[in-house]
Amino acid sequence: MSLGKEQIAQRIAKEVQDGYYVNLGIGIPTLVANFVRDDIEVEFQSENGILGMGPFPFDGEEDPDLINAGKQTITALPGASFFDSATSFGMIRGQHVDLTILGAMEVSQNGDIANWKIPGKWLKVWVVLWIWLLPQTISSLL
Amino acid sequence: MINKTVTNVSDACEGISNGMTFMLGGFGLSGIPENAIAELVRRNVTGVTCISNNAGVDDFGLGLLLQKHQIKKMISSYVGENAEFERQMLSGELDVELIPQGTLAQRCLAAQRGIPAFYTPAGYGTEVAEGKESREFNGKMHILENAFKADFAFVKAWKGDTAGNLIFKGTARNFNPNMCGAATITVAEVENLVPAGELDPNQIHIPGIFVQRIFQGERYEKRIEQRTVRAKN
Repeated sequence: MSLGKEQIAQRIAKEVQDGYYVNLGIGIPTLVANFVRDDIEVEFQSENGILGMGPFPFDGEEDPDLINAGKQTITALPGASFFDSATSFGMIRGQHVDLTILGAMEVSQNGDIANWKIPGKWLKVWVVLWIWLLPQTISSLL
Repeated sequence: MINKTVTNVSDACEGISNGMTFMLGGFGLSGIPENAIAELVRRNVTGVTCISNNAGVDDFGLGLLLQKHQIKKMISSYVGENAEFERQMLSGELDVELIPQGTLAQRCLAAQRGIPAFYTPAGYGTEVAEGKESREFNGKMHILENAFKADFAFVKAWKGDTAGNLIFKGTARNFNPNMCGAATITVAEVENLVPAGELDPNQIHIPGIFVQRIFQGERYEKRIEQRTVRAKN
């Protein structure tokens, strides 16, 4: 039996440990924050330039200048910071982020990921070739 | 203080012509230079190459230029939100170069800072590495990526002053600071333009030296792509 999106997110949340900086990609990864234990301190990073990403805003409090990698409206938690894209990928490529959670297009049983395009096909493309630079990567099927 | 102010978007775009390469800031529709894009549509400049993380949506952002077939080539990291883009790409009307997002940002930054090329491990062993020099550092393979070359950079900031100093807001910052000074001419549009001296120098994200022209945008729609909210308990 296959898992639903929420169940996948719930399982991934168990990988998040106290003191982690965690990058969240598009799709199921954005759900993971909902299931992280509340007795640990974690900071969520989004590639478009925020560390300390909070939950979705309340209705009427959306800010077009505050979105996540999936272009969804978000909030910033106390202690959050904003930065440019080069700095954001500097955090990732410089291996300062502890964990990245990615939505993937295709994953093999060996953990190979086809993420920016399926070879030979033009489909929706998502370029995250930095993934393998990270010490740990967990991917979930979109 | 050197005054970088131009009166309107039309003056800001003086010198653009067909076939040029433009950089445009923004992530999705957040932080895009809305007024400059509208002017590029109005002028119907064609055959252009656009360096931008995304290509807008069908009826907003760079999607407006795509609709009118003004873009010859897109250099982006992610283009999945735009059906017209997909159609033009599949039919071969549009040339597309996909670049890992961190490399895209760094190639802008390299251009801004006078660094002709840099090594990165991202993309080694994939299609991205084809035709590029590679070299080993500390036991890991890297590929050589070049700085971008562009004629105009169009960026959008929250506040700016007449000296060209810029302050960005939230995640609308994204690629905008990295593109400042990365093209021959950088055009900054801002929501609030104030006289030099009014902004706190401690708070400035981009010094005016990286900006050639600045103007206050006439209007900003600031469209939200994925409005997502939670219920109040």
